[in-house]
Amino acid sequence: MSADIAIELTRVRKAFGPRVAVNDVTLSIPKRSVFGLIGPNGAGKTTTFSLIAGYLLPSGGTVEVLGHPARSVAALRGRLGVLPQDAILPPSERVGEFLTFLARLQGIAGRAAEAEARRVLEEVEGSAWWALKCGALSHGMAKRVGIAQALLGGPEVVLLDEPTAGLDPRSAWEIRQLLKARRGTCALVVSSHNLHELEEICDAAAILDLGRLVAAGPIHELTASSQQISIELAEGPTPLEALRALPLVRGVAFEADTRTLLVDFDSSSADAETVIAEVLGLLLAQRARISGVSKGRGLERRVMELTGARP
Amino acid sequence: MHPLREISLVAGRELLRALRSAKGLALLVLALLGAVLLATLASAVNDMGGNGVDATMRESAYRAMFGDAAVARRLAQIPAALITVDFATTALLPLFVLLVGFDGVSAELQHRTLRFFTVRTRRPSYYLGKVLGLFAVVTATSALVHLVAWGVLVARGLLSLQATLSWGPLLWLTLLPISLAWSALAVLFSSLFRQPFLALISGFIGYVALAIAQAWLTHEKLPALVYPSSFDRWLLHPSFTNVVTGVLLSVGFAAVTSSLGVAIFARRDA
Repeated sequence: MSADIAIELTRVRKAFGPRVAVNDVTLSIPKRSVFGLIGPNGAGKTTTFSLIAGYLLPSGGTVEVLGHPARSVAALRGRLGVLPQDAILPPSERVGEFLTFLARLQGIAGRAAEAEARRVLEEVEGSAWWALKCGALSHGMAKRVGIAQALLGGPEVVLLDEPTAGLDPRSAWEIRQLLKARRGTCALVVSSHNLHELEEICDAAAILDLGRLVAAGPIHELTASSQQISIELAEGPTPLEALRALPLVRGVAFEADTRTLLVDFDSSSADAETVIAEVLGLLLAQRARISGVSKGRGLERRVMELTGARP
Repeated sequence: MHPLREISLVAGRELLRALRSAKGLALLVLALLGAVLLATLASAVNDMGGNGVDATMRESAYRAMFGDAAVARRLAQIPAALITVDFATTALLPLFVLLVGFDGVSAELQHRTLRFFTVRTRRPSYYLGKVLGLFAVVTATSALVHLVAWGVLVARGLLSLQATLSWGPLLWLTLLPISLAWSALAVLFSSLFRQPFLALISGFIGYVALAIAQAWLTHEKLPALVYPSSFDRWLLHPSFTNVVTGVLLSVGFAAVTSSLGVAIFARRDA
């Protein structure tokens, strides 16, 4: 395993009886990257996540975290933090004492454990909840406490399963800011259904479907943002031939149902911004009515293409 | 971190949780109620002439019960009220341990709370911490029950303080190895199921099966070592060697049960 790799899955397979949830997945996640696990329901995201966290044992293949098998607690203690999606905080325990206990369990001694618990709780803006019982927390508060425990001790790898699921927009935004602030300090692996969120915060991602890895790589490669632009047009002219005649343009497609122009270009000749300027200039000259412009196909569209258009 | 440190942390949390939670409060009420019931039972035995019954008759009864003359001789010297408290506690212990411990692991499996721990502690440490935590809770509760029961009996003049202090702690100490064995078994059942209710039911059925197996083995004159409460035959013995045998049997039972539990738990999904 390379020194730059935080997590490595090699030909991983996980079956529950006759049902194969993850099949022959090989994947590397670099250190200090923000990595998304993407896929529709039943794609195998949570199973893959659980294999990395050591909750499940693979039926085949190997899962390594920082060069150690995922269940090597002694080697990974304090280096791996996990927010499980559906784990419930112990309702009768107080937030502060629970976090302090977890800090002690991962090897932080004495008063330093309490100080670390207070630090992570402050990081998720939950200092006021220290003395509250976990059972008294709202869903959003519990989610933040869950994230706080994953950050205890400043781990090198943090796994977050659906960190913003079920949160109101403001809380979700705040958590995204928190994750962005962590960028570059550790490998953050985020499993989520929210593709816009993943596109916003991730450097790279893996797309799973029916237990198989269908694509993986940097977000700009997955969305082809360095070689394609998409332009939404309102009712009006669609000068396809004129666009095709532009020297930088390699190809043009028009999706009539969404009135979206997909313009491919050679990324070695020009960057996306140059192409956008040229294409928009032509469209405006031809009196086309532009509703929106974006680089690439967008992660959502890409996932739809790769997973057979199932959301 | 050393595994023993992990075990002590998990066990400590278990003890604190039991003392602070609603379940802990219910446990306290149950223990106090149990102590009063035990004292009442011991009083009733006394009123029926328990302490006045001829020591020879009591010795015969104990010999029939334990099949050992030395144990019977020793027990006949102890006030009947104290013996009643000890026997009743030993008999009820498996049920009590099961009631306290059936959800120790299963509830954390059910709510996946376990997932907060498995990335921080080795699974065998977590498991053994649960066993020792349960043992600590049961030990503290049985100490409370005995103290209250003895207090009631002494206050009512049914026991002398001297006899209570001479024999009471000794009888209570014999419960400890047995408590450990039952705690190990309760955690095994708890760790096998995600639904606490199933753990409770299967544990109860398991205990009944063990009691039947014990009775059958005894009847067939085979080594009957499957029901930990029966180890008091060795633990109550006046000979030190027999007491050590009783302790080893109890610890051995706990070790075998826990090894099986750890082996299963280490492989299972969290």
